[in-house]
Amino acid sequence: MKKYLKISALCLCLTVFAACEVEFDFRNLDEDPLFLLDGNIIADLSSSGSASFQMYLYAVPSAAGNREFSEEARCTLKVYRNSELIDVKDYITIESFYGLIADEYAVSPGDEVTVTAESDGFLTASASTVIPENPPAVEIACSRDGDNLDVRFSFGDNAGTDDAYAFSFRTLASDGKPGDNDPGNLVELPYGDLGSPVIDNGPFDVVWEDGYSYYCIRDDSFNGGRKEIELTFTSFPFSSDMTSYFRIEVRHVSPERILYETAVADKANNILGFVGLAPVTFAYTNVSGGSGCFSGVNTAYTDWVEIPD
Amino acid sequence: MSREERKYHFWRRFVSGICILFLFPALGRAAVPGGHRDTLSVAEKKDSIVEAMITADRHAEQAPSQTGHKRLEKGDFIYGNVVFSSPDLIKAIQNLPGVNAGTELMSGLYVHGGEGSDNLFLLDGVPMYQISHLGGLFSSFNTDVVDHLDFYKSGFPARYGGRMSSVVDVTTRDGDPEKYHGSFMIGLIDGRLQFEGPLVRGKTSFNIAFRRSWMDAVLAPVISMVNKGTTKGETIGGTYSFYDLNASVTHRFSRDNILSLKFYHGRDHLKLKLDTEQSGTASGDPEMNTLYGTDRLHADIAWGNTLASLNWRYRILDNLKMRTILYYTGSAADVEYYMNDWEVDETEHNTSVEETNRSRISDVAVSSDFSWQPHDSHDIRFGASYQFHLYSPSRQSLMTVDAVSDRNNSARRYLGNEFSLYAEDEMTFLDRISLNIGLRYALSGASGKLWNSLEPRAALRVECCDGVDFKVSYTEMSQFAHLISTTYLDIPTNCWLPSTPEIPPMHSRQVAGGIYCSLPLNFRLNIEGWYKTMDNLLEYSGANALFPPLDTWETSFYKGRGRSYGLETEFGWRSRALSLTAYYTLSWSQRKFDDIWTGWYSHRHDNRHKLTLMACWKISRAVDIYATWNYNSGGWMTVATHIYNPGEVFHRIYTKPNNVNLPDYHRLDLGANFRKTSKGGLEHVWNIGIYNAYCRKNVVFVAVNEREDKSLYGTGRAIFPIIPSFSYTLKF
Repeated sequence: MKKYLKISALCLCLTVFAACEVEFDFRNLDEDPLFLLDGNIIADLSSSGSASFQMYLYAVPSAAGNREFSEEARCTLKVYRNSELIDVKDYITIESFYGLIADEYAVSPGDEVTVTAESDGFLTASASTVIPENPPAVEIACSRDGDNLDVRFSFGDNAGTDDAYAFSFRTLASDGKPGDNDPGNLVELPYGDLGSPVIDNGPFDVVWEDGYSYYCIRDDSFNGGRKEIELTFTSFPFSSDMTSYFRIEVRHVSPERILYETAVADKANNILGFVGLAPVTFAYTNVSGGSGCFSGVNTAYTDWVEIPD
Repeated sequence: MSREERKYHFWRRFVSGICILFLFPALGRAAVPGGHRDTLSVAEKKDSIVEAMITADRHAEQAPSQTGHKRLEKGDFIYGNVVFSSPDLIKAIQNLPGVNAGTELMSGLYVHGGEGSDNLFLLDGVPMYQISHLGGLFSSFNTDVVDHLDFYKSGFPARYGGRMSSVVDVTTRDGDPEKYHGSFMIGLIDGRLQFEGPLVRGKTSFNIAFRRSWMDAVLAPVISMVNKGTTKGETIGGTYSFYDLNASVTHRFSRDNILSLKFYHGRDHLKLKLDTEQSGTASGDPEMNTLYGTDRLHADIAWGNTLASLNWRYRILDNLKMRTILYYTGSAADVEYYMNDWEVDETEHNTSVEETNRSRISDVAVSSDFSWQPHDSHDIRFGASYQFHLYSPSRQSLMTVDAVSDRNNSARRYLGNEFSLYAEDEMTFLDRISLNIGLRYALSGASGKLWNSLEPRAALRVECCDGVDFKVSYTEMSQFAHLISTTYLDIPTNCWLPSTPEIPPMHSRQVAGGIYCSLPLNFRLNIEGWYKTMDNLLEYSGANALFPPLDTWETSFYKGRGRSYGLETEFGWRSRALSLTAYYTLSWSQRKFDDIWTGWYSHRHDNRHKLTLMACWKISRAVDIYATWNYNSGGWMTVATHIYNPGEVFHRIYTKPNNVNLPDYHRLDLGANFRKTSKGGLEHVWNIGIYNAYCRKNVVFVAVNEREDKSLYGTGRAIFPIIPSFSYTLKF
């Protein structure tokens, strides 16, 4: 009897809670492809007036339309500086959906740089950004705490402007002070991990990867003031036989980059949104007629700081 | 596996676990409080405008001027609105035109384009915040003690306020002061016991009803069997139960002086446990020693309401009556979970998350309502109320990766004060025209900011000819409390928070009008239209979270507008034994959030057509059968219009919100009651019911997939297929 009761209970529960799947097609989806621009124009204090232009260009097919582009399909990319056309690239193939475009242009802080991407069957995508002023001077203090490195650094913010700053942290072991052109090795903080259940950005607003990890903060809470940040690098790769040095790459970035990277991070983790159980994340874009982000960066490095034993 | 990869892997498991955690129980929670005011007398039924379809013959259609009002008596929610053989009051409302039920079996009410949190639920005049058990399978209202409910979706009288979209005013029965009687019901997963009678005959009476599920008892052997059958090292545990208690004591000093003490307490409790023992060998261990660890997922979730009120009804003069209520209402939801992921590569690693989320709101309030008939053609109501709100959500989380801990605590505490005044006059002219003019003023303050709202209410009824009424109404409603949610689910992580300097109150304006006909041969036809606008709506900005960001909630929501319009019809016919009812709604519901999209777009419950067909046949005194068929056009979902994969992961670009239409929803429910009265006067009722009789796979949530040709398709998941049920009721 007990056995039959158990089987009956099991059958009941299976009947009630068995999930069923049903497949269906989506209707009314947009069929036009679009361009996604994701790039920076990076001015560097150490270079003489030139800036590095790096942009990923994605030709993104519509989810509902033709998802293959022909071999002959081309995109024309135009670059303007303060409304003056300074470059045309008309050879970009879009068959493979994406590619990295890199170049050097002479720009100065305050210049407005505009890029457009055009191709038959696409809306013209256009985005503009202004090269930020030189990054602020950063003061660093380091101290060793066992296997950890405690770092305290501070910098001043421009009053009256909307600024964002991205930092990347480097170390190097050397018998003497490393040269300014030595990029050093990346050291990371446990922040901004998209794989984490709770995205923890520490004192920063967002963290992203662009070759290195960049920890970014916006000045909305300290506009015009001085910001001090304290960090602990756990299990820091101290050298046992050489002197360890530390420095920071400081990027003054245009605010649209931080808005975009924040939205991208949110969107990537919005799993409930993917299945219709939560609002989806509509990623910020400053690209009209397309998607993505084009931002200006002005970068500098602090001096190498010797880490005391 | 790197530390980052471990965390990524863990995150995937975490999200899956949490989804299961919340979707399995489909924890239902809904609506709301607010400064309301209620009808003056429980016994008074002058508000009935349109009587219940099925029992239309029993209640006169006295039809004052309000549009969009429906009174449901007990007979209306015991036929055709039964799940697991338990009558359900919310299901009865969901069948009505102009009301969208939302996701299947979530007791949501999306009335005239509003959200589920925009409805004012009153139990004997006391606001109730959580209105369902088990994801809406059962509503919090025990029908054993419910006398009737008044449902308003437009034409709100001035005595109601605090919510934008609808009012559900539930009135329970006072205990019988003359004799003892009660009922006992046992169903497949729940049981009810109700008993009432005199404490002092003719003067003091009580009415008490208790309901409890025994899903925990059903689940226990199943879980035991599953554990025996699972792989060694896996342990599954889980239990779910709910209960609620309604109790009242009423003392009649005289026919015109009645004091009632009413109490409600309801609670749901869900526990889940999944432990998996793991073992492995560290790659860096030359001796290859076996290491042991355990993956754990533990959750303990409890939520519910407590309401207590002292209700004094007193006739001051022959034409002046008063009702004063002093009440407490509180809602509490606690979510605790613990997850641990154990892995071994070069060494062993543990990644764990502990999270505690408490969502609490408590109100203490007093309200007085007066009804004065200075003249046969005037029925004046006026009153005032004061509510003190305490909003106190909090959250603690502790994430530990290989003994490195990261703790986050956040909490919010708002003290809110809400004061309201109203007056309304139901005027009658020439026996064929009635006009209800009212004005409500509400003042609300929290977080140092005072908001006020002046809400005009007007309703006109003209009796064009015998049996044919024309009505039109205009109303404005404000809502000072916001249900903050990061998802579309009614889950205990959602919390109520007040309007603040950054978050203004929500406000709605609605015009409604229609024609209401009692036709020959017992036919009845009502046609009503409405146009409604809503301001200061909130939509989560879409960052990943199950828990609302308490520290930054004021900047984490977009503010926008909504509008809804449509036409709804009721068509009914009845004979002595058979009643047939059809409800049809043609509607549009849209939103405009400038930060999301430049134009208007469909709300996710913008179901263009809704049709409900109901039939009840009383074959004999002993047998009645009933059937209800529900249909509505599919809801809407936001699907990426462009997808690209620069690396291993697909990236989505969303353009217009809610851009794809989901499959249509339809469902047939069948049931039958068999009655027998024994010689001793005991009445036995056997109920057999079938929910979703033809096992329609109605989509609850959708995954987007890609075919080989790169085109997209949706995989919808239906949770509840056919559900047979049975219950036995003994009335004594």
